[in-house]
Amino acid sequence: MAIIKGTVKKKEYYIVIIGCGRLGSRIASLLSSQGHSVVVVDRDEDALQALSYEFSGFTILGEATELDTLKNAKLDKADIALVLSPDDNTNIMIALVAKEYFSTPRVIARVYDPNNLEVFSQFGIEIICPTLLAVESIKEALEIAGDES
Amino acid sequence: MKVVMVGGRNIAYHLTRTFLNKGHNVIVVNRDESFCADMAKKFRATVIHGDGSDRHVIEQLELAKDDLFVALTMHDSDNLVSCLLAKQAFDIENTAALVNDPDNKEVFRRMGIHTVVSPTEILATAIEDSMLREEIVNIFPNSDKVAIFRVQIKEGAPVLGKKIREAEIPEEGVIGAILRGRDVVIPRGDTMIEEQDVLIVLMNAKAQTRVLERLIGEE
Repeated sequence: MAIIKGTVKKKEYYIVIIGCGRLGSRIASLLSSQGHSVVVVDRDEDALQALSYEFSGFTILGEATELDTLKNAKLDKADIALVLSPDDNTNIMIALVAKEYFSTPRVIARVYDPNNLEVFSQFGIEIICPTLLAVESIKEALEIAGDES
Repeated sequence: MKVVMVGGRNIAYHLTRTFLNKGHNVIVVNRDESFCADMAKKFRATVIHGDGSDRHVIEQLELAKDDLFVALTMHDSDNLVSCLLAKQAFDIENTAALVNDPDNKEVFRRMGIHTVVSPTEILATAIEDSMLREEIVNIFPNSDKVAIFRVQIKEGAPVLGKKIREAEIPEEGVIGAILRGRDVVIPRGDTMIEEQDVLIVLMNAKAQTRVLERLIGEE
C-alpha cells in the first residue's frame, strides 16, 4: 500500500514526528522498526530519552512552533509529517506550516476538540480526532446502532 | 464597523478604548473571566467570556465581511486559528494578528492574515536604532529585506571628500540622494561627498552593517 496517494510506492519514507508523548513515541518506534527514516521533535529532553530501544531514528530537542526547529528536522524533505503535540491549536498551526511553508506531501495532525475539525480539514491537512474515535469505539462496544450520516 | 478583539490584556484594554473613542462597535472575546468582568464595567463594549479559537464562539459573533478582527493572545497558534476561523465563517478581509515569534510573520501572511504585527521585531528595531550612532536613522523600519537609512557625513568618515565612484561602497548598497543644505543632489559617479552631507542610502538589509561602516567608519 502506498502511504501517499498518487505517488509511487516507496519502501522507506522520511517521516517527521512532532511531539514525543505516549502516542508520538509509540508511532516513532513502530515506524522506525518498519525501516522508515524517522525524526522525532520535542521540547522536552526527558520525553525524547524515554523512546524505546527499538527506535533507531534521530531526535531533535526544540520548539516545533519555531521555523528553525522544523528546518533542522528537514521537514522540506519529509514525505510525511505527524503532528502530535498535546495542544490542538499548536498542532493546527504546525500542520499548516508543514503544508504551506514546507510543502510536505502528507500532513496528519491530532486535534482533540471536534469543533474545529471541518474548518481545518479544508486546508489540505488530515486531522485525527481521538475524541471522535473514542465515541465510535464506545458506540461499537455498546452495539448502539448509530444513525448513518 | 465592528471591531473584534480576541485575547490580550493591556493591548486589548487600550485598543478597546481607542476604537470606542473613534465610534466603532467593539466586541471583546477573552478566556479570562475577571478580565471580562472588568472590561464590561469600564467600557460600553460587548464582552464575551470564551475561547476565541473555538468555532462556536466565533460563529455567534455575527460579523460582516468588512468588519475588523484582531487576535492578541500570547500564543501564536491560537491567534492563527482564531483569524482563520473568522475568515472562514464571515469572509473577513481585515484580520490582524499579533505574532510573538517574528519568524511566524511570514507563515501568517502566507495563510492570508492581512496584518501581522510582531512586537518583538518592533522593539528589536527600536533598540538597534537607538544603539546605532545618532547620525544614522532608519527611515524604513518595516522591512526585513530592504533598508533605507538617512546618514549624516561627519569629519573622519571614510567616504568624505571622495567621489562616489571611488568611495568603494559595497555592492549591496547605493546612495539614492544627497541632501546638501537646501538642495537635493542625485549623485552620479563623479559626485563628491562633502562634510555635512545627508545621504539617503538604500541597501540590502543583510548587508546593512557593512554598508554603514563603509560610509561613516567603525566605532
